[in-house]
Amino acid sequence: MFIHLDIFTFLALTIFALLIITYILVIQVVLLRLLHGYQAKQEQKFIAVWEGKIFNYLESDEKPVTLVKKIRRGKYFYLLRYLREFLLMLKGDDFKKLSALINETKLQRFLLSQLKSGSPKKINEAAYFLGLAKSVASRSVLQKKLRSQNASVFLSSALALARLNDIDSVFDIFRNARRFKFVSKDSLLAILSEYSNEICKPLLLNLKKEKNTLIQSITITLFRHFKFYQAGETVLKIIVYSQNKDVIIESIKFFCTIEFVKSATALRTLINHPKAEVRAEVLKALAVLGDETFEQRIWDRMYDPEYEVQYNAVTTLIKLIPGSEEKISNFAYGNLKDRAAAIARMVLSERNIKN
Amino acid sequence: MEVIKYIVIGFNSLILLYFLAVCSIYIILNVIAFFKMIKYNRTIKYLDLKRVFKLTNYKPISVIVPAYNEENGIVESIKSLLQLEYPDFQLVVVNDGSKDNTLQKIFENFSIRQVSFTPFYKLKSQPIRSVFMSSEYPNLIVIDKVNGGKADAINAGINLVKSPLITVIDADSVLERDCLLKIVRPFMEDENVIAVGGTIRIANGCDILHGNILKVGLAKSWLARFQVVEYLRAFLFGRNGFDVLNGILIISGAFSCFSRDALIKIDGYRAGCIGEDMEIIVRMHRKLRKDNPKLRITFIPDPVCWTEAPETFKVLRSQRMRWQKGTVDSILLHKKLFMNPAYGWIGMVVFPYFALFEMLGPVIEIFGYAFFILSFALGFVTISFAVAFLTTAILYGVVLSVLSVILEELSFQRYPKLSQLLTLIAAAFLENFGYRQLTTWWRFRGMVEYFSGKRHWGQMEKKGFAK
Repeated sequence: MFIHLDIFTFLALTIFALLIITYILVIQVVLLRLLHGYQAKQEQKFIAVWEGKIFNYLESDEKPVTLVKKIRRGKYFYLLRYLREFLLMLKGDDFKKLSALINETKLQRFLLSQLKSGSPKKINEAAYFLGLAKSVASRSVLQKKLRSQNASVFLSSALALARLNDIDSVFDIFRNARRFKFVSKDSLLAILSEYSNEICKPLLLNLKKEKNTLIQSITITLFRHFKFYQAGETVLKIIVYSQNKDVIIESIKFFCTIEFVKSATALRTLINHPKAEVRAEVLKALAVLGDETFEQRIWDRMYDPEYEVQYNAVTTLIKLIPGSEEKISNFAYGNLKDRAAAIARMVLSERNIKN
Repeated sequence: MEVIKYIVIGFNSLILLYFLAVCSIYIILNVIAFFKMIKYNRTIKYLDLKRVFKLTNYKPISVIVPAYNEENGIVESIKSLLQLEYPDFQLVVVNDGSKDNTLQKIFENFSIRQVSFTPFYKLKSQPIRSVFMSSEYPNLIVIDKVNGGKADAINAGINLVKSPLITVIDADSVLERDCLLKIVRPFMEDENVIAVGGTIRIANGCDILHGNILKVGLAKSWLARFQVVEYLRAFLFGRNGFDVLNGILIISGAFSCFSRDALIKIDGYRAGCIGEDMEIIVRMHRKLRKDNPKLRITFIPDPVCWTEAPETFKVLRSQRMRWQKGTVDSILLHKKLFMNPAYGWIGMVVFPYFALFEMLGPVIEIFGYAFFILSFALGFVTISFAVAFLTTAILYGVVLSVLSVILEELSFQRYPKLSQLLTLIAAAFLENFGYRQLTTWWRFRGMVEYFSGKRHWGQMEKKGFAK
C-alpha cells in the first residue's frame, strides 16, 4: 500500500509538471510565431520604405552618414540583410557606395563592437557583414579572431579577411586551421578563393619551401582557380618528387587548366602511376597537353584494371589522335567479349548521342 | 492468487521502469537536438552556398531514382530533378521492370537513345536489359532492368555511375532545388563523412506544380497531419540527437547521399531486404566504422525532400507494418552489434536503444496495456492509479510532440501561417488519443507477421502529386 501510494503521488506530480510544461511550451510556440511574424512585418515595412531611399542614394551625392543616421539601432540588421545580396553581386562604384553605408557610418562602429564581443553568434554576424563590405577598419580585430578557440569564429573571421583581400593573413589562416579537427581542405578552399588573384604571388613564394602536402594541394588548387600561369615551373618541380596523390592530381589539373605543355614529360611517367586516380587524371590531361607520341601509351591503358582509366583512355584517344575513332570502332566491335572493347563501345555510343 | 498478483505487479513495475527509461532518453535527445539545431542554424545563416561551389573542386553527384510502375508521375519527376541546382550532376533513372508504361513515357518525353554499356562495378543486381541516354539532356541516363526490387535497382544504378557521390531518392519524392548543394556540404567539410541524410517532410496539402513545391501547406486529413508531427519528431529531434553521437542508424530511403566508394566496399544494398535504408546504414557502421571509427554517417536537418503520406488507414497500416518488419530485419541481421564495445557508442548505446525501444517497443507497450487491463480487472490497480498512469503517458507524448513543433518554429518555420501552426499544435495533442496507439498496434502486428514468416514488402498505393 505504501509503495502504491508513493507511485500514485509521483504520477500525480508528474502530471502536474507535464501540464505546466505543455502549457508553457504551447504559449512559447505561439509567442515565437507572433514575434517572428511581427519582426518579418517590420522588416518588410522597413524595406518598403528604404528600398527607394537606397536606390536614390546610389544615384545621388547624398552622404552615407546622412542616410544611415535615420536608422535606429534595432533595425540595423534589416538594412544589413537587405544589402547582403547586393554586396555579394555588385562590383565597381555601386559596390563602393553600398559598402560605404557600412564602412563610413555608425553601422561600422556597431558591427565592430559586436565583433569585439564574447558571443560567437554576434562575432560571426559582424564578421560576415564587415567582410562583405570589405571594411578595412575591422582588419586587426579579425586577425586576432583567427586565434579563437571557436571553429565558427575562426572560419567567419578567415572568410571576412579573404573578402578584405588581406594577403598578410593567408599564412595565419593556414597555421590556425590546423588546430581544428573539422576544418577540411574544401572549407579552406571555399574561403581562400574569396581572395583576389594577388594571393598567388605570396603563395608561390611559400610553395617553394612548403613541405605540408595539404597546403601544397590547396595552393595548387588556388593557382588553378586563378589560372596563375607563373606557377607552372614550380609546380612541375613538385610533381616530379611528390608522393602525395592529392598534390599530384591537383598539379595535373592545374597544368591542364593553364595548358602547360612543358608538363607533358612528367605526364609520360605518371601515366603508369600506381594510383588509379592519378592515371585517370593524367589521361584526361593528355587530351589537352599530349601529342601523337603518347598514342601507344594511351592504348596500353585501355587494358588498365580500373574502369575510370580505361574510360579516360578511350575518350583521350578520340580527342587527341585524329582519325582514331575509326581504329577504336574497329577494336570495339571486333572484340565483343573484351572489357576494354566494351568500354570503347560505351564511349563511342555516348559520343554518338551527344553529337 | 498471490503469485498472480506479484507477477502482474512485477510486470507493471517493469513497464513503468521502461516508460521512465524512454522518457529520459527522449528528453536527453531533445536537449541535444535543440543545441545542435541552434548551432546548425547559425552556421547556415550566412553561408553563401552558391559561392562555395564556384571553385572547380566540387564533387560530381549521381542521383539514382529507382522507378517501378511510376507512369503517372515519372515525367514530371524527371523534369523537376533535371532542374536541381548543382554544378555537375547526373540523373540515373532505373526502370525496375515496370509493368506499366513508365519506360514508354520516358521515351516519349526525353529523346532517349540506347547506348552500349559495361557495368563498372560488380554489385549484385538483376540483369540490365538496356541503357539509354538523352540527346536533349546530356546528364540523363535511363537504365531498364529486370524487376528485382528497390535495393536491386539502386545497385544496378551504382554499377553504372562514375561520380564519387551518389544520392538515392524515391521516384515520387519532390526535392527542393538547392538540396544537393546542401547535402554535399558535410562531405566537403569533413573528409570522413560517408553518408548523409536529409529531412523528409509531408507534401500532402502543399501546392506542387511540375515537381516543384509552390506553397507549403497542411493536409486537410488529420491522418496526414498526425504524420507531419510524427516526421518532425523523428527528424528534428530523433536523428539530430543521435547524430551528435555519430549514431545515425537509419537514413530515409526517400533521400540519402553516399560516398560511392563506401557503397562499393560494403557491396551495395542488400537485395530482398525489407528495410533496405536502415540495413545499409547499420552495415556501414558494422563493416566500415569498426576499422575506421573516424568515419561519419551524419544528418543535416534542412535539405528537404517532400513525400506523400498515406491518407487511408489501409495504406498507413501497410506502411507501418513494413517499416517495423524492416527495423526487426535490420536489427536481427546485425545483432552482433548489440552491447559490443568494439563498436563504441553504436554498439553500447544506439543499437541497444533501437533493439529495446524501437524494435521491442510495440510488444512491450501492447503487453503493458494488456497487463494493465488485467491488473485493473483483478483489482491490483485502482481506477485512480490507472487514470493517472495513462494521463502521464499521454501528456508526456504531447510534450514531446509539442517540443518538435517548437524545434521547427525555432529553425525552419516552413509552415508560414499562424493557423497552420495552431493546427500542428492541435495535431500534436490529438495524435496521442488513438493514433499513436493504433500505429503501435500495427507495428506489433508487423512484428508478429515478420516472425510468422510473412516478410513481403506489401503494396503502397499513392495518389500522386498531379495538379
